Amino acid sequence: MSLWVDKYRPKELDKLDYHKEQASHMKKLVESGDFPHLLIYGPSGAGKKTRIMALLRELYGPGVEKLRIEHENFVTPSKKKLEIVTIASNYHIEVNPSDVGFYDRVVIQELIKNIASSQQLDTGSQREFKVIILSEVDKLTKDAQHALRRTMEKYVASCRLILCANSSSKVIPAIRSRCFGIRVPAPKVEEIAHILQIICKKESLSLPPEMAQRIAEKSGRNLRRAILMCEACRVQQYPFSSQQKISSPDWEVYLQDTARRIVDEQSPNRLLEVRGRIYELLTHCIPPDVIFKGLLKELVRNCDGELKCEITCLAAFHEYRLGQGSKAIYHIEAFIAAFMAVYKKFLEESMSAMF
Amino acid sequence: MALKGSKRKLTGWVTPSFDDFEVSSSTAQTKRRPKGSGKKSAKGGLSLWVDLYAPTKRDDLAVHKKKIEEVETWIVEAMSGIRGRQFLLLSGPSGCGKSATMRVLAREAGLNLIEWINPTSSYYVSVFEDEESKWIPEGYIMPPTQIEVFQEFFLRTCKYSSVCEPSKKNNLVLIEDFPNVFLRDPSSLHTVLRKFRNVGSGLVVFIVTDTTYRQSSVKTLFPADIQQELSMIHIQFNAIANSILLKALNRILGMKSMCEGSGPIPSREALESLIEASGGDVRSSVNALQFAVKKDVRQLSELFSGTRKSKRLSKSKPRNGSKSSTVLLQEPQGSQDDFGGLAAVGGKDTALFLFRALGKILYCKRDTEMGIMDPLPKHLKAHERMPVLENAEEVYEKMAMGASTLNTFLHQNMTPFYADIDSVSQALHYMTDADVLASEWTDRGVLEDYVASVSVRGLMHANKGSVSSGGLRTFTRPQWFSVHKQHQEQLSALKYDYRNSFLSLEELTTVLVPLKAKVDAARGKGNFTVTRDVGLFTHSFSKSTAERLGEHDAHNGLPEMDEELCLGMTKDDDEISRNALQSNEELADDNFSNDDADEDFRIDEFPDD
Repeated sequence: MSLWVDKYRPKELDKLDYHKEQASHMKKLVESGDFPHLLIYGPSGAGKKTRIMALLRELYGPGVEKLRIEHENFVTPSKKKLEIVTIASNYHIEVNPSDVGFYDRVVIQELIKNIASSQQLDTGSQREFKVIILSEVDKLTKDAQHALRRTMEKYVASCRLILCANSSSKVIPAIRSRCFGIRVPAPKVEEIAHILQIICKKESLSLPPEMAQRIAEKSGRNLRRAILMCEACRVQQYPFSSQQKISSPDWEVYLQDTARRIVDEQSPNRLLEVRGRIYELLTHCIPPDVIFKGLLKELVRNCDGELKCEITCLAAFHEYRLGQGSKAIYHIEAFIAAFMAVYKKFLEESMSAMF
Repeated sequence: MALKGSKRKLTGWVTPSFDDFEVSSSTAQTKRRPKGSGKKSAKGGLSLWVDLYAPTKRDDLAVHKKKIEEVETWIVEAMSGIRGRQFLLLSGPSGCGKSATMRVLAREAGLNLIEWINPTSSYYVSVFEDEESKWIPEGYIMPPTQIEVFQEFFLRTCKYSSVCEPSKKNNLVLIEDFPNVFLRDPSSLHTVLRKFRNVGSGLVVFIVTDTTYRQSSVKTLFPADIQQELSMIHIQFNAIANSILLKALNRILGMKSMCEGSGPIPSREALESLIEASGGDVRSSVNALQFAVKKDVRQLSELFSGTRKSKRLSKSKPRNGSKSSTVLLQEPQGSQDDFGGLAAVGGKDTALFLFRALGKILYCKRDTEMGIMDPLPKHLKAHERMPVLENAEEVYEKMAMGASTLNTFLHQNMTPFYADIDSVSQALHYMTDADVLASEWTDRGVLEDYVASVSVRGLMHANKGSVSSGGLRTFTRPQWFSVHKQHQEQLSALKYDYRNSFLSLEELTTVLVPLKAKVDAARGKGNFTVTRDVGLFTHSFSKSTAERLGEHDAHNGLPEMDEELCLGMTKDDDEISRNALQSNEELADDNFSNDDADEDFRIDEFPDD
């Protein structure tokens, strides 16, 4: 039994629930049977991948949905062997080069060369080009992006690239200018609520409108999250009541709790305790920058207006250093300690001012 | 053995498996040592005193009596054929008389001592093990592998007694020179030993030298379970106490003057400083003595102690020139922490055990008597500190550990040493500085030292010393490695599980997995899956208690950039508690008293009489 997210994913451009005008533009784009390289960007959970797949279906027909997982092997110039997972149909191949981290350049060059050098067999019934989908282009190293720029031009005859990114700002301008950019904005809260209603109707459940609204608000305009949260609510309690607690991921609760502990007491011992909790979050694969973001959000909410600026500044500083350093725990803990020091000083000052 | 054997192949077709004549002449020189005869003086100019005046009887041994007795008891028991007394393991720092004790006692007990020496016959490897030209000429018989040679030697020597010297009944096999294969793959050694245990009857002694860097090979070669299984007796030797060492040196000087006539005799002070510098190592101190006596004796005291004094002087000068003489007086005579105090000759590079190094950095003792040397202007008053007793760079250098690994240890243990959150925050800030420096991989070799300086000095500076004693603290191994390892494992498992979803990792771990885990859990399925482990916080990983650091534990050599870091060590509970006990005692000395803690420590177990 698949998740609702997968089950109710629209397959065709016509069936998309929002940004309908954009969908019709995309349809026109491929009607001619050809299209330029695309750069599709937008926040996560906005429906980028859904649109890409729908576009491919428009182009090649339902054959693109027959997917197979393949393991491609590469050898770097330094003789290191790399393996990367790709998902492919007869018409396209999807790969996330940032999986191999530092060696993404090799993957981009080799993979595209391999694919582009083999022509489509039957150009009559099929298109004369294949499509390569590269996800998380904004996570690529600069090296890889420059390599991409070159290969894009070279193999334009036999393949089209669809680049998928969260933000276009981290993609180098050279690539941006070679692609037709399509921005997929996050759905509005009302749109999310509407979609939740549609899904529940298909599941023959009744979802109170207030509840749909609350889930939509809590999801941060991330549709995937909203649908998953809705499903989690469904398995926890049905029939829905409009007062029902909306379950958010465990790590968020845990992080909020951690932030509360930081505000409660500022001492070396408490710092040790918090360190344990941070370790816990890290073992649960929560990325350090997400921890930073979450902590800052909670801490800023809990502290006085005067401090907000200073604390955000601290967080920004330590988060930047996190990117430069290698061991996340130092930086997170340093931020927490710095917050504790600032906050304690503030409390002491305001206490002495009071008496 | 094998080489000697192969030499004979040319002359005869029967290969003797072992030849006691050669072995004993090459290894057991102890036996042949003439006693103060004229022979020695003829040789005297050429060979080392260590060999020349090696101990021949029990009283000459510079080892504590109790240790000798322990070893002797084992020999007696083993010879009387008590089951489960076949193996003995001796460990200890280099030059503490392990081998010498074994030789002397074996001789006294009338055992036939045979030592394994690694053969040098593996030359064929370079010729034929080339991947492409793996060609073996016809009729060429592949030489036996190192393991085969060892096993052959081992089983035969143990099984049969010597033909040449029928008077001696038992063989005693001494293995000090472990074949390299075993260091890489200890399990093959264990197989050989198990085989021997069923077949052999002789006695086997293993001698392993402790090291400060990396995990000592005792633990890799003979883990606790193997020791248990083979009912191996493990005797640990300590570094030799100074007074015993002095006696030994005097004995050698006496013997020398007996057979060579009186030569220059170094003064007692010179001997003492020599011993001081040797760090409890007989071999190095005897070598140093021999070298020293060759030179003019009047220079001798300068040779050993002079450097030390001048170093002290130069060190204290920048602090305050006028006070340097008082500094000298205040230094306790026998202070062992003399990092600068290595003598020019024979100084042993005494590496620090991790445990002590951490203590030195984190306790950060300051020289309260001296007072503040260079007062800072008013606006910098907050940074004013008493002079620090330890030099950060020297502690780091002594430790034989990479800077970023050291930092993980420091980070794990630092927090309780700071009184308030301000100083912790300050200290952590320095740690992040160090981390950023350490991540600069292009210049790691150069930056490594700076990384250590920044973190160690930063921690010391942030420590205002106002923390109450707070009793004794234990050090633990850093959790970071296990956390990191778990993180990586979970992540790769997740990547595999969700390989067809192509979400970005962040989206995967923060949205899809936690919520899917909830859905699954509510439906009552998906137990024991990665999704559940990662997504839900019901059972925690890192609650596993951080492993305590023992006093003599070395860091077991983690590669620093390797992502598959692991700290998988298992230890006896007994050992942990014993270590903790010892270390607490030592810390107590370190922390509360300023007398010669180290001196006490070295001989505490066997006070010399």
